[in-house]
Amino acid sequence: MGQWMDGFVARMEAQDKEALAGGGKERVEVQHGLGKLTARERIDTLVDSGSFKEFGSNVRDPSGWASTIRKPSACDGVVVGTATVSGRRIMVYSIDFTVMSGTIGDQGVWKIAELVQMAGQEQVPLFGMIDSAGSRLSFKRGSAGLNGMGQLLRNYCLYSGIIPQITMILGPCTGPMAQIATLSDVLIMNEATGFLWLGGKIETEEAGTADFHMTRSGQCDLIAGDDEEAIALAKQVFAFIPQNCWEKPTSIESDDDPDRREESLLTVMPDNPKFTYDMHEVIELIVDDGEFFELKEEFAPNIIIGLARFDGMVCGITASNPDELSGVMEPDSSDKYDKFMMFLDTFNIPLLTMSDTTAYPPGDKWERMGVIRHGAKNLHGYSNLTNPKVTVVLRRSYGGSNITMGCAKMGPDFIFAWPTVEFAPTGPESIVEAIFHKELAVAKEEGRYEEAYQGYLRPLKEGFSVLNMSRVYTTFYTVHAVIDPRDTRANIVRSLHASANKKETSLPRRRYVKPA
Amino acid sequence: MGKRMEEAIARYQDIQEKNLVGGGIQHIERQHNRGKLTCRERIDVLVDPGTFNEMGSSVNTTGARQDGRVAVAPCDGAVVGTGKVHGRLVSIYAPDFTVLGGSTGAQHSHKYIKMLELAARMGIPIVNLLDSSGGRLGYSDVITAGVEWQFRMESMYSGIVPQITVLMGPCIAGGAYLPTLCDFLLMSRISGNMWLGGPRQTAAATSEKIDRNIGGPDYHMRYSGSADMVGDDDEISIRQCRELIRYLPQNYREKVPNWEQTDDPERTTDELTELLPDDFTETYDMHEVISVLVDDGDYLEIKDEYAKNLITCFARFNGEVVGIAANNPKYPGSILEINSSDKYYRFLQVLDAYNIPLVNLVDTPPFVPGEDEEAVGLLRHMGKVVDVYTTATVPKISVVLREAYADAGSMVLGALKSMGADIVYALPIAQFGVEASELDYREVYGKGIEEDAPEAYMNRSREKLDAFEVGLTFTAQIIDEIILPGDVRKKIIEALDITRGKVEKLPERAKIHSAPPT
Repeated sequence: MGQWMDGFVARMEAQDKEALAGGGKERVEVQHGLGKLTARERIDTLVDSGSFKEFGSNVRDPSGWASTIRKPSACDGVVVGTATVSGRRIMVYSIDFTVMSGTIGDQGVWKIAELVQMAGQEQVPLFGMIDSAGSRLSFKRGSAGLNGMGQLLRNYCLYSGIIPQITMILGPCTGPMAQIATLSDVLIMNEATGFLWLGGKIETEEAGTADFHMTRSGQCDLIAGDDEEAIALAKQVFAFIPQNCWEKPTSIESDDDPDRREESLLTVMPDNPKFTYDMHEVIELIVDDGEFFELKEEFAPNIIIGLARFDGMVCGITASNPDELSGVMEPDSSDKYDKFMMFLDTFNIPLLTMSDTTAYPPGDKWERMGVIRHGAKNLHGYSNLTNPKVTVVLRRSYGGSNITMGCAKMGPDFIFAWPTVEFAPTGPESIVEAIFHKELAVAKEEGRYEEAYQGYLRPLKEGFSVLNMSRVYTTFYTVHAVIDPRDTRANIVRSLHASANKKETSLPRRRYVKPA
Repeated sequence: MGKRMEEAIARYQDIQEKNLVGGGIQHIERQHNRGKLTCRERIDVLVDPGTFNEMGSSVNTTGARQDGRVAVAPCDGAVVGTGKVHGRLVSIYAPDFTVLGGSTGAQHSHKYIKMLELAARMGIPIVNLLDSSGGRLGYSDVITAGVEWQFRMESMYSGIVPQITVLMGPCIAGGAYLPTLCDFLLMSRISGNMWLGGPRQTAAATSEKIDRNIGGPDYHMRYSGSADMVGDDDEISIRQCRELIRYLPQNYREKVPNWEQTDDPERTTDELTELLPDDFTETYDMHEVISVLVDDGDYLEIKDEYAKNLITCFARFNGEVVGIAANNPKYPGSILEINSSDKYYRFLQVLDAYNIPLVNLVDTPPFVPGEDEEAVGLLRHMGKVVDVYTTATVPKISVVLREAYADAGSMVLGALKSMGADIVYALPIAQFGVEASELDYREVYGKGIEEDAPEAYMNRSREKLDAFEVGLTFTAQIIDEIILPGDVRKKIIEALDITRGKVEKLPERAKIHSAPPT
């Protein structure tokens, strides 16, 4: 190599070194002191060893303005590139908190915006790791930062439903950037350092934390104790998702017997149908190896959502949980369900709905929140799914909420019921009270209330029983088969195998109009 | 004419005559005494005279009461057919409340579905003149698909043809999904009522005592955000529906027919200099601005009593129909929060579904919603708007009147070119910023944020720039042109001309939807 070339190589190496140093030793120490990994350590933890190829490492803040305040601007605070995770090609960005507190700069924002587009065009998943105190971008004297922010948000939306977008918030994430969190398919937050906030007034300690967004705002899918755990969770959820909307999730070899008969399913439910049980028990008994990967665990726990495998095949599960609010549906659970089912459909992941639900609750509080339009949102969502859909009805299947969970004429591919199922417009007990209240009042005066009540209730319940309803195949509250609860797993496995090559088409249109 | 024909015709006429009185004179009187119109009177108000074509007029009930009594139910309580509204075809479903309370028997239910299918296939809007007590309880009938099938069809046809409900009766429990799955819900103040459960059901389910105000038209307009327009009575509501149809196309493949040109496209709008206060802390009513700009000062407002800080309405510019979404500084915080996001989200979907250009009038004060909103999902509700705005392919035109701060919502109101706005104008007094937020993250978060961060670099995003600084560059292109207040109407019409041939193809997806926030 001649001197001429040596000179250039040396300069290049010096720039690379500067890029790797980020915001400098002191800032790296601060980062570690907070229990956080640096942007590059996070990438190393996420990707297959040695697979990361960086783009834009030479980028610095170009305005000359950063040098006036004497702050390093390595990579303009964002490390971006491509790598493999578990052997699968991905695109990744990681915001460098050591560079000017991870604030998003004019160049940094474009680095991310273009990476999202690149991921979209190459049809590979996108991982984002955000640790950013806010914005330092501008639109002054030609700075393209704000436009970059618009392009970034737009790219997330343009490629939503095409490539999986997984976001980890491992520090602050504020201002317009905060929008990224909800535009992603999966949001993971670090419970110690994660902070998500648009910019309004703060009144409590918990505001913006992982716990706040998990239990209250309903925006966080998974909470991690530290960066390593967040990254491990991202990899776990990634295993369930295909590379893009044209592919199916990868099945694996499973050692769990597909026909496994589960005796204990006969004893999960209490003898008194008024009592509750935890639907998690049922789920864990039927999925492969009892492994259920739950999302949004602490938001609207009356509905359970998560991912699992059946005979090695990936399946999303939505289940009502009688243990919480008696398994009713309400606006929060509707929102939780809606986003999840649209996500499953875009990536061709089958949806298993397991329902034991009484209804959407009436009354001022709920009506004011728009409980009807939230129910309508779920009907709209489910009706427009074209992925494989399997419904298992366990016990109470009452009006309004049961149909959002995939009743027969909502178009599930397969619908099964345990023999304990009762299909009814609303709880038979409340029907008796509503229709026969006069007769019951008389009976009460005559001291034979219980007898009269049961007299009205019994034939009603008999009529609503699935063993009666399933005599007619073309009715709405019916099923393809009444199954032995012990064989629930086998029936689901067979259904998923049967629908492996499913095709269902949607009518063409510009866009549908979904209830808010 | 042969005898056979003569008898058959007589039989036909007999059915038609009986149909006209529905459930009988007594029931019609009761309907009138409640101030309500009958279903056939409603159809007469809706359609151009003499254009109603009925279908299924000889349908009757196939059910019998559980005690064995055979009921008579002309049309099975549902009058359906097609008619013309302002010369354009619509499909109509009108339950007859005089016939068994307009309840849905098997034939009734199928009449609705078949009309909806016809409408979707032929590309004509459907109008439901709804007045039904719900499922026909106590009757045994041909067992078949129920309400869920209706809802599925409504959803599968959503965005293919406009679906509008005018609610002029009770609408309870599962039945309440029919109108909420439509693109528009209009409610008659004297007769419309919608709830999941009435007082008795609610008391049985939750022990709560509720009164009839809950679920009324004003309730759904102001609180639940489910109603789009409220009329004082049935006739006014149906007339509103006639008007609304003029602002919609027949289906997703067509554009709204242009209205007659009645106002001067060159008309100047210098009134704006008086309407818009120089002092940004002073407020004004955006309705007045809209009146000045649009043809004949005429606009049709949607959800006028809900989230009043954002106005959504239809109007015309030089005869061309547009949808306007505008902040209203008259109300505190004319910014995007949860309710205004939901209102905007619905409106944007309608515009994009039916080829209607969007015109934004922007004026966001420097304010970002706080913890009470964040706690119930501010970001995801705004995210719904971000998703629809950025992926809407209809022309998107905006005029920044005074203030535009991205985090206060201006970025989805067309004040940020790269979000997909086509033409962005700004008045000379306009002022822009990335962040209106003044939160100091060192204080509320700390955890390693540099001490000098706010003054050293974060202030760059919080700087407010005037229209001329913004207009200085096209690399940071935020706006296309600074325009004079007097030219706003003219420039909007010009922008509509420029964007008329717009073709935008989004990256291809496997499904008709993405995975947006909810």
